[in-house]
Amino acid sequence: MLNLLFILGILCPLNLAEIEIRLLDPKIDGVLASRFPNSFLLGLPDCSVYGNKSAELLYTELPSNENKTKSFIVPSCSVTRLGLLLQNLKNGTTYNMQYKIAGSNDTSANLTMATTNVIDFQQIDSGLPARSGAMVVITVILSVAMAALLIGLIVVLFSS
Amino acid sequence: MGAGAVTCLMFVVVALNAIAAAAGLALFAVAIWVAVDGYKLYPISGVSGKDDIFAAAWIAIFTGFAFFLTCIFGIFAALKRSRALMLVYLIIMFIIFLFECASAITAATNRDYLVGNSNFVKKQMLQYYGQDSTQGKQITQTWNRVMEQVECCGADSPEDWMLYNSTLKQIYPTYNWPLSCCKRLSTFELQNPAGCKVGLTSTLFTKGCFNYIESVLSRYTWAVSWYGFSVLMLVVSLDVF
Repeated sequence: MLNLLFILGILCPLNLAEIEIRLLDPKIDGVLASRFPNSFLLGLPDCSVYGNKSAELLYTELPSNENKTKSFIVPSCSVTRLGLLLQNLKNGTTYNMQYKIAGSNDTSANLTMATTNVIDFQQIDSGLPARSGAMVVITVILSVAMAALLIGLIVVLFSS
Repeated sequence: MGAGAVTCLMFVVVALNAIAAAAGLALFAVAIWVAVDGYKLYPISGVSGKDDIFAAAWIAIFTGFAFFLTCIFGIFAALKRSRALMLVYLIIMFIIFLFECASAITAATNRDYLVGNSNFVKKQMLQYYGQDSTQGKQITQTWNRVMEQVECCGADSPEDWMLYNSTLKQIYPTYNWPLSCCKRLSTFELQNPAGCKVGLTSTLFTKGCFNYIESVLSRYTWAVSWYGFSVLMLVVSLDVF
């Protein structure tokens, strides 16, 4: 049985392998982030296999099921490749993404990711944070000194 | 014995007055340094109307110089041994003391409001950076200068631009953060425009600017507030004599 599976595995052609689709990882790929409010930063298909071929990224906005396509050319291995920036998305929405090489049946798995939500900057509370020690010390000592001086001045005035 | 004690007391008063005059003049100089704002961070406090640190510096300029003049008058009054003149001296000193107190307390309180935590500076940056009003232009210029000189981005980090919406995002939706966050060559060109747009950490500044802004404004405040406080303590000891 195992022998049969091995033979079948050898006979299977290699081009049924899937294209890898993933978001770039800040730790591995040295980017700041890959999920933004209005865009995604995706890793490109393998340049050694698909370099210089034209490809498409099919993406679907999940609640409304709108299909869109972004065409691009996979850069060859001689060029430094950064990633594919998919822009003009809506914040806080989930998208299904899939690569497809033009003119062949090579596709990638579906990647489901949600864009981040933004907080309105007006919501930041910019009121006075805690009072610092310096403020309290200066105010207390100066008020006490002011009172002492005033008393001293009155004493001197009325003793003359 | 009585005459000796009085002479000794007068000597001490004259000496303390001389020291206080020098201290007053130094306060005058330090307050001028703060008011001139060599680090050019005035718009951060001025745009939101909370520029009391600089108002306190202006008051300290006048009180410092007034201390200097009054202490010289005090030396003159002590040498003349006139009781009336000494009373006038004490009253004038008290009035200047009140103003300097106000200056020191105002500077310390306002500093806490502005840079107690990064929220105020962050909100102001998100609201005014890139805006087309006069305040927007001032804030944009100030932040650009800070980001390029100090090599930083955002208040706490570039993530500030991603976590919150901002005026910049509304005007230029394709940019996640300002171009001043990108590293530049010595010819002022961007080192890697495509990398910076995408967020490659080797092509943009990743530390926040709040530490620098906080340290400069604190430096101004301590100059006015703590130095003013120490001059006041000197004056109190002088008046006790």
